[in-house]
Amino acid sequence: MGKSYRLAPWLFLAPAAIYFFVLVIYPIFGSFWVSFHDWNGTTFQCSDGRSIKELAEDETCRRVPLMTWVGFENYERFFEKSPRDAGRIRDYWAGVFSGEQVRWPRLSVETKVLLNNIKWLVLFPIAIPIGLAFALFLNQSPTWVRMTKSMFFFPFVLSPAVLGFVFQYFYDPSGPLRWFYDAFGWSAGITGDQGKATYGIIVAGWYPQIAYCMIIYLAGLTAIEPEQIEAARLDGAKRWKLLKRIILPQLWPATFIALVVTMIGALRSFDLVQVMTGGGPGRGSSDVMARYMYQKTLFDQDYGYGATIAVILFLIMLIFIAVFIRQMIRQSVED
Amino acid sequence: MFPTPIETWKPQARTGYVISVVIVLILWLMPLIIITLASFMTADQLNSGGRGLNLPQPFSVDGWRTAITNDDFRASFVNSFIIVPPVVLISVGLATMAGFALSKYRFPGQLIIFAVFVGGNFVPFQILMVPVLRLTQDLGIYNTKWALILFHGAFQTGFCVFFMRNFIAQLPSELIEAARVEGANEWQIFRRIVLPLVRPAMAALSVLIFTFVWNDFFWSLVLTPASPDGMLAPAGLNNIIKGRFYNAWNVMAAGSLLVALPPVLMFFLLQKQFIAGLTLGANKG
Amino acid sequence: MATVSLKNIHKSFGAVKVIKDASIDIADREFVALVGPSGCGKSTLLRMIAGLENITDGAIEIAGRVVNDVLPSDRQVAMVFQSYALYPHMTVRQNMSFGLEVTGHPKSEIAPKVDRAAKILRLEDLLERKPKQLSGGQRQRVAIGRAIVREPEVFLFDEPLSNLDAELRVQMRVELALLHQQLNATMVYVTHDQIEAMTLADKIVVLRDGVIEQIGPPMELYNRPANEFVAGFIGSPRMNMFGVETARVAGWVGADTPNAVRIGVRPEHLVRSNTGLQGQVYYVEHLGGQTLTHLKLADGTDYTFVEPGEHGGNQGETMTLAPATGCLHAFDADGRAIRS
Repeated sequence: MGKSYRLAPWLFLAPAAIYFFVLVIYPIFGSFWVSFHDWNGTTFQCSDGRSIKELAEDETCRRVPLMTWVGFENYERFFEKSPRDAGRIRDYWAGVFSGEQVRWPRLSVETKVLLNNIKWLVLFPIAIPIGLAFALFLNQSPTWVRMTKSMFFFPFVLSPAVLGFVFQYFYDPSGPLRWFYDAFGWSAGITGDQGKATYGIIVAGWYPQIAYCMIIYLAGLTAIEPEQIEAARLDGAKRWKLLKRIILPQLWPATFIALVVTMIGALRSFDLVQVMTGGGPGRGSSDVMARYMYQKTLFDQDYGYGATIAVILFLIMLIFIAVFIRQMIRQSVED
Repeated sequence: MFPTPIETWKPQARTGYVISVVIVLILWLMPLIIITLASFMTADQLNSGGRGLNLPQPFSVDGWRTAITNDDFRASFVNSFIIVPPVVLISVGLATMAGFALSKYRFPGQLIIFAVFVGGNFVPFQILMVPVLRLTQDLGIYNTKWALILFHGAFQTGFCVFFMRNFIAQLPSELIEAARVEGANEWQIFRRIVLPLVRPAMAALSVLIFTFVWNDFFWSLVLTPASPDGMLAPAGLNNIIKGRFYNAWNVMAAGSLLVALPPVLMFFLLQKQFIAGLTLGANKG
Repeated sequence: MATVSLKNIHKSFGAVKVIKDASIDIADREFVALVGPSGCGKSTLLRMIAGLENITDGAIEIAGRVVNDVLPSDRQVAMVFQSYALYPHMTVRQNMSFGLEVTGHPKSEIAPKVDRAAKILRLEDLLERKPKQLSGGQRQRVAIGRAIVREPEVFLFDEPLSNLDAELRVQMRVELALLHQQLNATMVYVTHDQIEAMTLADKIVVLRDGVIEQIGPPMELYNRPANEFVAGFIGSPRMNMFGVETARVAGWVGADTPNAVRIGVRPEHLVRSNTGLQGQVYYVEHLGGQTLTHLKLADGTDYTFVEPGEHGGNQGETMTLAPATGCLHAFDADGRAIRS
């Protein structure tokens, strides 16, 4: 094949690749770099090394951040209280099991943030089986059912800002749920209550996530060979068995995608938290790493520490990303 | 088909199904129903216990009027309409070329490059925040529309490359070989054979990207925080209306519905494309 | 002169060698068929002639010019793909014009060429249709038309009839043969169907696992196969093969072929006889114009006997058969034919 064949793919690829690598991939390393420094976002120096003060009256120079190298200090700071908090939590549960009257201990913000991320990781995927249930519920062909499907899908296209507001209205202590709150004595509602806020946000997150999983599963269901299902029915397989032994295994590709996307989504959730509670009430009771990082960087002017949090979050997510890519490459090779 | 097709059910079971679907649908749409009701209520009704499943009494468009006449909120809406289409064009266009290269040619490193596009699409925004912020400041586009166009164009390219590469891979390679034997050069092959055949996929992808970028909140906050010149609609909703009209739930409700409207409309009009876009890959393997 | 020459061609995909030292000479205007079972390398050879695959070693010459490094579009070849590879978004006319358009021919030149090709293949009424509106046979003709328009030196066909149903295949075979006569062009034709090769080709190349087993005109391969593989591949139903001892006991051969290990005779070259090989009929197939009788020997060897007409054996009966004169093939321990 000729020279133009060898050159062509690079030419087609270059614009997208350069654009993407410069603005998305390269910055990842930038954040790693910043995480080893301390910077308040306002001190600069000239790119040639002079400090701003040395400039003459009307002289300007290209400004670069004046950052102080701190090595792993930021990382140590993030995990500083972790051992102590782990101990306190252990004591709490020990107390619970031995029947004592214990109160949930005071924890550092970092620990609270980490715990919240764990709650998201564990609870957010509940949307997946619910999405499957909806998909099974709606997997019928009459036109009216198909139109209803669209109405079930639409939460997915809502902006998180809108979603956040909708659920805030819902959760408001004098809102539609106040009869519920009165019955249980929840005077602060959900997002006003330190212990309940995160759960309220997760429930809000389920709304679009269930719709997404429903779409994925409906597509997966239509891809199953009808003949397989008929053969199994003729063999006498009834609903639950059919579901468990024929349908679910065939839905594995859909489940895989739903799992990876949902877990990644659980860790990425910034918008909802920022809109609904801003991380509170109090310090960090509903905060997650994604949002805490934002606050630390732009509001507390602690760029280095913020970058550190981002790096830790990124490394955690890298696990899931790697799993996804490995599966994808395996599939490409098979095809 | 699983479960058994409804046509084979007994009439009672069928009616039972219809009723249950309706009930579930209403419960599912409840948040939306309540917000819509709220948007037509007066502030008084809302503050005196009218929140919830009540009819607006009196019916009022105060909320809508206030939201629409707010200059800054309107400006953020206009910004969205100015910012989002170029992003869609850039990301889908560049990704189609890249997808063609990655799926219909063999060259060293293609799988790794593809993996980087896919992986990059999943990274948390926060890992990019500081460097991208600094970059827009250095370029002098901080707080302007350009920052959002530039960045979103790049970021969405990741997902678009994933999408287009998988779609183009499914085109029969023989078509391209036939064109090659006939004397077409690589650019002619792309423009006259591949491009016409991937138009449906590009349409589907464009709808998805429109939705993703329209709904963006984070980057709008970071790159155009106080600026009516650059803010996108959701951020406009949050900052302006929530900031100034806190506790005016009817204004918030109307504003929310306005922000939600374009993607929802796009979705309902172009459903097939939308769902086709999302489910590409759900059936592989 | 549209000659094609393959000189000592080797092809490997990574560590796997798929073509081993292939040399073929194709004369001007010859119709050459490349046949063999799946995976034998015939399509790979064709694609190397077209320029769609690189050559690991060796040389390919078209019209006397070495084309190893020449782009497909510059080799003056046209290819008809197995799936036709018609551009689905273009009309028949646009499909047929595409090749000339992209190489810069003026519109005034293209239209008459397309019309002429359309006339040869009876496509005039279909010119404005899109491929999905055409039947399989029509699509195939458009694929051929696309090739004709470019007036190439050599036509390459990659299993063009595989996707057609049986009846259409017979019809198209005749059309292809007539087309060859009409265009008087060099054609290289890949197929796994030996009937197509036998009926269409001036010369057949039999391939197995990347090795050329025999090259020759159809009747030569039929009457004088060089080895057991060719003997079994050409001709349907397959040539019957017996151990030499069995043939000796049946009186078919004497002791004058000491190296022979197996004896072959075609089903259509057996005759009923009083003395010869005795076997039991286990199934009879009536095809209308001929009858296939399937027999088994005591040692389990399966063989077939073909007679014209409606009368075959009866299931369960014992039948004695002998070869027609001069129709025995002897093969040695390596499978090679022993010819006197």
